Amino acid sequence: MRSNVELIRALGVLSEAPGSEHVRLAELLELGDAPDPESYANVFLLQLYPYSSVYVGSEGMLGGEARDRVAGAWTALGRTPPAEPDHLGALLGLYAALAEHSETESDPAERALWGAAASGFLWEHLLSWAIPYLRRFEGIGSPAYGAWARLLADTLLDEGRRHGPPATLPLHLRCAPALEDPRDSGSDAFLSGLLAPVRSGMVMTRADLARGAGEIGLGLRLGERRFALEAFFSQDAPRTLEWLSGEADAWTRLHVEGSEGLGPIADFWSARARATGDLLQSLSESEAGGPGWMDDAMKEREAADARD
Amino acid sequence: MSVDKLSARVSAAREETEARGETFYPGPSRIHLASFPPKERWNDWVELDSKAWPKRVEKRYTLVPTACFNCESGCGLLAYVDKDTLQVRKFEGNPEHPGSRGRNCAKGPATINQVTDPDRILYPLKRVGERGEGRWERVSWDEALDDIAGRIARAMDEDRRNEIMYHVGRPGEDGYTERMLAGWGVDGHNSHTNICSSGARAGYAFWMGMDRPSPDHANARVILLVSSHLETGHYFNPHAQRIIEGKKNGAKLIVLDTRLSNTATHADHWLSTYPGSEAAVLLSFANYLIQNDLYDRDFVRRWWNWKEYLQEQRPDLPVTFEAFESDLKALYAEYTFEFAEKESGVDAETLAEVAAVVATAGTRLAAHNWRSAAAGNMGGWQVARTLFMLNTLLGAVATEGGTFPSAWNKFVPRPIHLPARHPDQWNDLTWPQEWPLSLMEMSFLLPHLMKERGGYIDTYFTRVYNPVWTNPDGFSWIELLADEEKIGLHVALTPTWNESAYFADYILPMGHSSERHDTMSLEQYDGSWVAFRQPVLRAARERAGQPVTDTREVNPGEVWEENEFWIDLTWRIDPDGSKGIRQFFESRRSPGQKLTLDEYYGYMFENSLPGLPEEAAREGITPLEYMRRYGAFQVQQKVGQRYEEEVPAAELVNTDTDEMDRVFTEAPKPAGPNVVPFPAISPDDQGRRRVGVRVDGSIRRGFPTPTGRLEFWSRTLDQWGWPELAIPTYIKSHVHRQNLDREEMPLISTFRLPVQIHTRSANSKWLAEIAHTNPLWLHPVDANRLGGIRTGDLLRVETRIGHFVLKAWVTEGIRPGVVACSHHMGRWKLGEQGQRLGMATVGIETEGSGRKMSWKKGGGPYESTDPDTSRVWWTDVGVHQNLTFQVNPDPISGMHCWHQAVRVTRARPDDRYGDVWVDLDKAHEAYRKWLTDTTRSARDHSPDGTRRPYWLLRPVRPEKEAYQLPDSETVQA
Repeated sequence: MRSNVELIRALGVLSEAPGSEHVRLAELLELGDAPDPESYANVFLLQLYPYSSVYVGSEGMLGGEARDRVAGAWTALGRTPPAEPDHLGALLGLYAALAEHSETESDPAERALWGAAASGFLWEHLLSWAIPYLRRFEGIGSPAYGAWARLLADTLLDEGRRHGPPATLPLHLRCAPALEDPRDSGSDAFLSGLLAPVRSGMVMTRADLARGAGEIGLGLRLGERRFALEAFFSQDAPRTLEWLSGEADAWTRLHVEGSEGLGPIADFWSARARATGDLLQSLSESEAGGPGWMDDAMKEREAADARD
Repeated sequence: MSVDKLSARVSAAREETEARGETFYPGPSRIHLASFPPKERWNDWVELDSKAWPKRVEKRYTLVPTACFNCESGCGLLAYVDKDTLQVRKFEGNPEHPGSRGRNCAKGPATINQVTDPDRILYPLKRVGERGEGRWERVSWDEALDDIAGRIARAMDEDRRNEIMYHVGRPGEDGYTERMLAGWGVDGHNSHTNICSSGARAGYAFWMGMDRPSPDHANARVILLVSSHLETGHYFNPHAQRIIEGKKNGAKLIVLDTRLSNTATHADHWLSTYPGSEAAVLLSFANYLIQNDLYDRDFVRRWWNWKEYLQEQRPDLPVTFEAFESDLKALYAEYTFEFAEKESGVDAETLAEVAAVVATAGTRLAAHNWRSAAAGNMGGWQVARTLFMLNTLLGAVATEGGTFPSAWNKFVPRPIHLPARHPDQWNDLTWPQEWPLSLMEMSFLLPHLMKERGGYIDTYFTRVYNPVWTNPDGFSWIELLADEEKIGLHVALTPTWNESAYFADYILPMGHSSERHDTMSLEQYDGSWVAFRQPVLRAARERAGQPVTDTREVNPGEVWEENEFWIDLTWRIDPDGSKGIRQFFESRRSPGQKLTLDEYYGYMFENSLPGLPEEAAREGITPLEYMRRYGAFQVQQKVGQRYEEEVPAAELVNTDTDEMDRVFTEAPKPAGPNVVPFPAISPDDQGRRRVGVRVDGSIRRGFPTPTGRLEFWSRTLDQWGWPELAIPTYIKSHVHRQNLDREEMPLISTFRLPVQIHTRSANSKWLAEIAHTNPLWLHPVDANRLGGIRTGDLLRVETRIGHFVLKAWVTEGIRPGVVACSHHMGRWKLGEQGQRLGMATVGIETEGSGRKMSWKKGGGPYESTDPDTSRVWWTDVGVHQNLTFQVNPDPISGMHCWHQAVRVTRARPDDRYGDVWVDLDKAHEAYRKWLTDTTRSARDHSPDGTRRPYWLLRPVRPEKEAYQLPDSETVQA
């Protein structure tokens, strides 16, 4: 059996809620302290949701067409999709099973087919999003999860190198619409798009917003991320645009620097972040006195909040 | 370390771990975290207040788990307790509950309606004036408890223990009151089961000893349901979600149901059978498997009691399996598809098609029957018996995707005290001689038995039970409850007003699901779990550092919970311990002090739930704190085929194997923490306990039946007067066409609506808005035959003892020639007291033996502390049909056979919606007819001078001497 299969399984299990087995796995993988429930909840339930649909779906939310595509892949591979087919743990488990199958199959033709299935699944459903996702673990959560994320990223890139680069950009990314210009589409689509990684090229967590509030001196409204971001704009739109522009630049660099071997996927993500940065810059320059693109609904909400 | 080296390390570790027989990974993925607040945040959960929209007002909650009380399923709930006000704001699902897995039906969240119901009973009430007059005064708990305890103590002192009766509706904690009554020495347990599930229970019990099925729907290849009720009622939520999982995995769903029920709408094959013909259909499937050798021969050979059958019934044949197979083919040859078509009205070709689907199930046949046909028909117990026969033919018993016996998937943790002795008396009012095989108490016959045979009940508790409304023949119940010569004191323990409580002397307010303690364990999949129902405000206070010792401190008004109530009452009955009953509710930590619930549950969770102390320790909390925090614990997953387990050598001491291959041992039974009831299996004549059965040379656990095997042929039925029914067969229902007059049709009343709660949903405003009426289902063919009846027309439905008036619903969703009317509706009150949202105000008139009920006022909007009640847009609350139903006691199972023979006509000019009329003389005559025409009493048929087969399950099983029929020989030990 190829050695990485078991490692991938173990890393997949570690993306689930911690139990007694996680202590042993963390020790084996030299992650430092074992993952604890508090860190797990903070990282996976509140900051970095471990579902591919969040990162490759055009809404940046759980489910939708992106999850349907993953479920379709399970079905096409002869498996019954689990309740949450796009959970990272489920994806890693399936990939490990495919890779294992491809190496234990005695019939050369079957082996080649399973190998192609494993390769396709890896590129389409894991490497299409997981590296930017895992890069974001730095500074969030416990050191154990940081170490886990680095190891998983290295392992997946290693798998990618073994299979060779994909012939085409994964379907999720080919289908992904770009971030919309609020001057054309209004503020709702723009704000949602900023928080949809596949549109903006950025993975914007609650922790990022909290950091941003501190950096630009704005109040952080508790609530969903979109609500908090909207509150940024209502408080100080120019400085919010400036801060976001800086974030987009940082993500552009991250995609370029940290994604050797990802080929067109890295290009896609860096291009998305760069386009976001350009758009934000453009908005910042053209709307220095206030965001004229804020639509009526946003203004009404702002006014209601002011009355409170 | 490099990726390669780490990979090699993990692989080696896995191999090493698994070589030791241990599990390396945590098992099936537990990923399912997207839908629920993470449990790590339950102590401080923030949500925006939906009522404040569009403002964004944050609410901070502490989330406290409990278990729903609104049906038998015991699903997990999470109470959202507002941290500012310490009030419950809403209920949602508890993702930590293994049975419901965070999902709920409408009844769960509607608990908040019950808690905040402006008409609920908040204080103990005592009758003023005549019983039933409707006048009440508020009294203290002390006054009520002292009065009740004094009466019970006198009854005990005067050797009148059987004059104490406890009549239960919705069960609470597994075994709590049964143990209490056993401790009191009172054979006074009376359940609602014979109007509920005794039919199906009997069918299962005669096969395997255990009386409930536990199908593994999610892993089935074929799901076969006999259901106009099951998957919309009993275990609705836990089963429905697993049935859908099974379907998503490719399972075929077959539903036998006269109506197009919710369940039937999801079926791949819906068979709209004539009521009562279900066993004929199932036997045709069995015959198909048998004649075509499609059954699991090895399973049948190993586990059916075919040897006993041949020895007893076919001494002319050699005792070989081949001879049995040949005889089996002959026994069932008559049950052809054509025969089943004649009985059921479903064409033979369709039946053949469905039988072929059943045959594909192999060991993955998940089959279930609970109420429905088993509860509707005379002989309904054979429906469950013939259904489970399919499982036993295919070997789909306790297999993955098959059907499990209930007791193996249920865990009742051993409590701190268990009474050593049970009552030494027998209560003839609940266990009369004429129904010696009845699975449970003949509860619904109480008015007739007392009318016919006399008797007096000194203290009668109705506990979350409403016999006047729920039982058939409710006017006979009113007559009984109003008679102080028969019922000395009626105490209604109820969270809400109900029709029986109007005829009580005390009404004592008991808590809803978020206001009481219980442990629950229910067989809902291949695994076992225990859930903890708890007063959520008590738990919330304790989280905030405010200890609570009496649940009344946190419940609304003076609403109490039963566990503390019974402890207190027992101490008042036996204040100095001289009666020997106080000990069962006494502290171990502080002898001479009352047992507190923290000690009671602390002991239970510490000592009787395997794995829980370790799981709690991992979180640094006590087992009780764990259950208060998460509300449930899964004891075991994948229970498997217990009957196939080899008996360990340590249990085999001086064994003996008898001629039926039963193995007896001198080794005592290992004490276990699970005290789930099992049948009482007799020891051998040396007093050795039965430990297993020898199968192909190995000693296996087997089944808790007299033979230790699955009982295809029942010696019990054979010996107790029913030799013709000793094997699974077909009994023509009391509503079979041959038993009806030309103009009569069967009325199906056993189905319920999945959004209603028997008799506790009248003021659940959300549920009432969804469903608030019960029209008569009538097929267009019948509507035309009856003169062009249209939906909404007023109809008179005549039973054999009276009639009721309601509206028509013309629908193709029912078989022609059959009508149906749902349970739950038609609640009423006599005056102001009651639940205004869902109860009509009625008057009752007496005309000789006739009783007439008519509406004075329907439902509709009204002013209350809840502004929603002024927005009620409906006035209909349905019609109380059960009042007009005669009792139909099945001679074997004791089940009330609900289906009624009725005539349907247009209403007469002076008929009004909601009218009910009943002749009590006819009602009693109907009882007498069933008694004389159908029963075979223990007096005439007992093979050993006892009242009932000792091995059969029985609540609060008395000591063996009490089984003796009067004036007969002592039972051999």
